[in-house]
Amino acid sequence: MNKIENLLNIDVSSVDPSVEADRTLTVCNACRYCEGYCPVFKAITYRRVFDNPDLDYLANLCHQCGACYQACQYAPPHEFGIDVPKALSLLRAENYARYAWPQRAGKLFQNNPTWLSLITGLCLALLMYLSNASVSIDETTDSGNFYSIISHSVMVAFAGLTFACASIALVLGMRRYWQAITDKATPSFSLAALNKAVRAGLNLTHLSKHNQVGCPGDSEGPSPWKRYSHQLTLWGFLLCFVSTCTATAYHYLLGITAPYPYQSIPVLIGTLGGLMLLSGTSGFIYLKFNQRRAMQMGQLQLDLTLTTSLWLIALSGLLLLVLRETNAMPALLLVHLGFVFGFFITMPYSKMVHGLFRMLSLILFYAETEDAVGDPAGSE
Amino acid sequence: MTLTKSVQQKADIIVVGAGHAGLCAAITAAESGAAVLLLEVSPKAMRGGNSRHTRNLRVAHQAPTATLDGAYSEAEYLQDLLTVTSGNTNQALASIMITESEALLTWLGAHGVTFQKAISGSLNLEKTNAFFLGGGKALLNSLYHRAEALGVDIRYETEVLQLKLCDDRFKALSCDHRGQRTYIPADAVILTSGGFQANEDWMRSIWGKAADNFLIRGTPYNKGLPLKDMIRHKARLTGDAKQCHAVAIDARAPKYDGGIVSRLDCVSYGIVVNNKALRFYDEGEDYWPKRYAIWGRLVAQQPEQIAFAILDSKTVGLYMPSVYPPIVANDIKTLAGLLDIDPFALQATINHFNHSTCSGEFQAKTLDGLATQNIEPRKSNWALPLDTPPYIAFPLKPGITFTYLGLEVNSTANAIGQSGKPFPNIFAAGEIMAGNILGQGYCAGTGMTIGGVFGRIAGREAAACL
Ligand SMILES: Cc1cc2nc3c(=O)[nH]c(=O)nc-3n(C[C@H](O)[C@H](O)[C@H](O)COP(=O)(O)OP(=O)(O)OC[C@H]3O[C@@H](n4cnc5c(N)ncnc54)[C@H](O)[C@@H]3O)c2cc1C
Ligand code: SF4
Ligand code: SF4
Repeated sequence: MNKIENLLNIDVSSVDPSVEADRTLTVCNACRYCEGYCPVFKAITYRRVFDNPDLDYLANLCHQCGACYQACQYAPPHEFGIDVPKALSLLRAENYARYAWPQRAGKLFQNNPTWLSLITGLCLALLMYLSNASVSIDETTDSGNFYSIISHSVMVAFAGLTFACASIALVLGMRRYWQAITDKATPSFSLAALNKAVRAGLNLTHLSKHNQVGCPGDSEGPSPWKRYSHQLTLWGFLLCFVSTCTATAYHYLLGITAPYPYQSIPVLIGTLGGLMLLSGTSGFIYLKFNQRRAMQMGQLQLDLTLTTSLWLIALSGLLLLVLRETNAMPALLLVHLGFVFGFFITMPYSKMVHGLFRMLSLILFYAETEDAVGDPAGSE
Repeated sequence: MTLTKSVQQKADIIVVGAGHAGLCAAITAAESGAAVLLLEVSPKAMRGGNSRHTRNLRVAHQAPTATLDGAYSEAEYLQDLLTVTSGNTNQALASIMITESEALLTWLGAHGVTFQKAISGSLNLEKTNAFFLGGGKALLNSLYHRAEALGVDIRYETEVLQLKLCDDRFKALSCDHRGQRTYIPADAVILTSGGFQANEDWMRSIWGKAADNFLIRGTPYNKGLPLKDMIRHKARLTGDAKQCHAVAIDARAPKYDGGIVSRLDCVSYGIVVNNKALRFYDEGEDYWPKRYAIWGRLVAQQPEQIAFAILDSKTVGLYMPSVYPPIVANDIKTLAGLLDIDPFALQATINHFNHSTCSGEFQAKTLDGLATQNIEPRKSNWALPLDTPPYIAFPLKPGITFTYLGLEVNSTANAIGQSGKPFPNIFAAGEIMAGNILGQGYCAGTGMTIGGVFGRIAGREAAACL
């Protein structure tokens, strides 16, 4: 009978997120008014009871657009207190730690995301500085040459190591998640399903369809600005990554070494990416502090840590470009690289993983919808 | 705090109650250029009356639309309506509602409401009912948004108490905002304040003590004060005080606002007993969607207005789990203990029922004709013996959707006086006048169509009489 008592308004923060997600989706499955909004509501019609990997899968399908919350007849102050995006958001945050590899690192990061990111970034900057102790940062630099501050080999070593660690941890974590959510289901995976999932994921289709009301100043309504910020951040981040890859190719394949001129391809792509990243993350930070709902969503610290570190990386990168011929360059370079490499090391435990969790859930969703027939919900 | 003075500045039109009917009226009147004041008793967070719990409306259409299959002619619609009401319908008003229903769909779409195809589990409504994406609250959010943009002055936590009339003309009304009484004059008033199902005293005066055990599926704010006041002003009434839409729902649902999730779909696959452990009606008379509305009344007639659906494990999975978990036990006597009914009586009822079942093919989705023999009441379909533990029970109580007693109106939505003369500047729409069309019975999706169609008519006519 405890589910009945749970139907009464409870302090969600004190409850196991799986229990709250189960209670919430059980109400939704009896109601189904939100069926047309997003995959979460379609996926629940294939199920009658929800247990753990299923709930994790459903939680990661949610894009937190807020449409179902605005529409919910049982939203607080109704005694059922249904808040789907919040319940699923809390469970997702827990998932990021639970499926992380190694799990202990995930839990540790989740408890102190801001401090750990800051400390990792600063430590790496210090380490790089120490490994190049021969060079003094007070020394006037030679026309923007970064390697006079940190030697190329040190930079490559740090980049390679942090990137390799991040990749291994990410792959192992994602494998753990995928195995869990596909444990019971054996949907037939088709190329078509994969295609749909990737498109929906990259377009953020489910963040855009029903949330065209409202604007950043609107403290309640869902707004398209979240999607705009997200796309700027995502594509800005990827452009920065592409810029780094091009620079690597310049170095090793073409034998052209940095510093690259302002009109060179790596700098152009990097500048565009940096500007997009900066505006996207600024948008996110603005929304967080201006939407009452956004402050209550349960991933506040994880979100803010990610957006501020990306914001810092973008800002320091752009400043570095502008000020690379001044005295500020050495300090900026150390901070920028420290945060970039710190970002990589903490990536498998940070909010960055949400994209991968969501993509895997979308793949399963489209595979499952190709096969499944919804379960008719009775009458009326 | 806006209502500080005891007399407020005059509005052109006051709309009483901001559910679907009220919003349709307010928006239409504002679009005709009137200054509209919309008064709503609930706080903003719980606005929208019963309309917030709805999910679809019934629409006549000549050809398939984006969200409706096939065609549903006006004649078919009228026939479906007359069948459920046994002819207890003002046909002139019903025809207006039906003819205007498709235009209503277009109008709602133009005012920001998004529709979707019938949601899974809503049986056989693909052709007749357009579903609101996100349900009634999403529909209302769009309409509120539009009303605000049009400059409609919406006041929450403001309860309308009495109307002041002079020679059958509306002059002003009195209302209460957080303990502060105010008179507001206006040139016309539109009453869209719903039924009176949430008025415990009124319900008790009709049903006696039984009313205390009724659950109200929708808003706690529909207490019918404007309706009551119009009775004082000698308005002509329609519908019987006892008529209402009442269904059997899970007894564990909250007293108010439980909405759709407390419904139960399992009844036809088992038996239903009262708290004396006795059966009282044919559980398999017809498909459940066609029968759930009579079960509200049936349960209301049982001692303490409670009943229990009893099933065994053979039929698990054939019905949707309710939002409340089943009560489960491995033998009948333990189950009876959990339900607080006499174990020997329950065992006897089930033994007797099991003996009356016959062999035959059970088919969950059709009227399988698997009936009992030599038992009163009989069970006409799906009569399987209850013999496979664990046994499962769900408690049932009457859930009142809305009452039908209301104001008689004419084709321009004017309320009518006992003399037969319309009140020239008093209009009514929605639940408060649904009884004109729904004299008894119910046809899914007509509540919202009545509110929308007559809300728009009232808004238009009120603006025209300024
Ligand atoms: C659970 C449930 C599901 C339903 N599903 C459907 C469906 O799918 N389709 C359908 O067509 N119908 C459905 N109905 C019926 C439908 O809700 C009603 O027919 C319809 O909403 C009536 O609209 P209305 O605007 O007249 O009343 P309401 O929406 O109830 O609005 C009345 C408003 O008046 C306010 N009010 C009351 N008294 C005062 C006062 N004195 N002063 C100020 N304000 C006052 C109330 O607070 C309320 O906001 C359902 C009903 C319930 C309970
Ligand atoms: S979010 Fe609310 S309205 Fe939507 S399906 Fe769930 S319970 Fe129903
Ligand atoms: S918040 Fe948006 S994406 Fe998440 S469950 Fe609700 S409608 Fe779906």
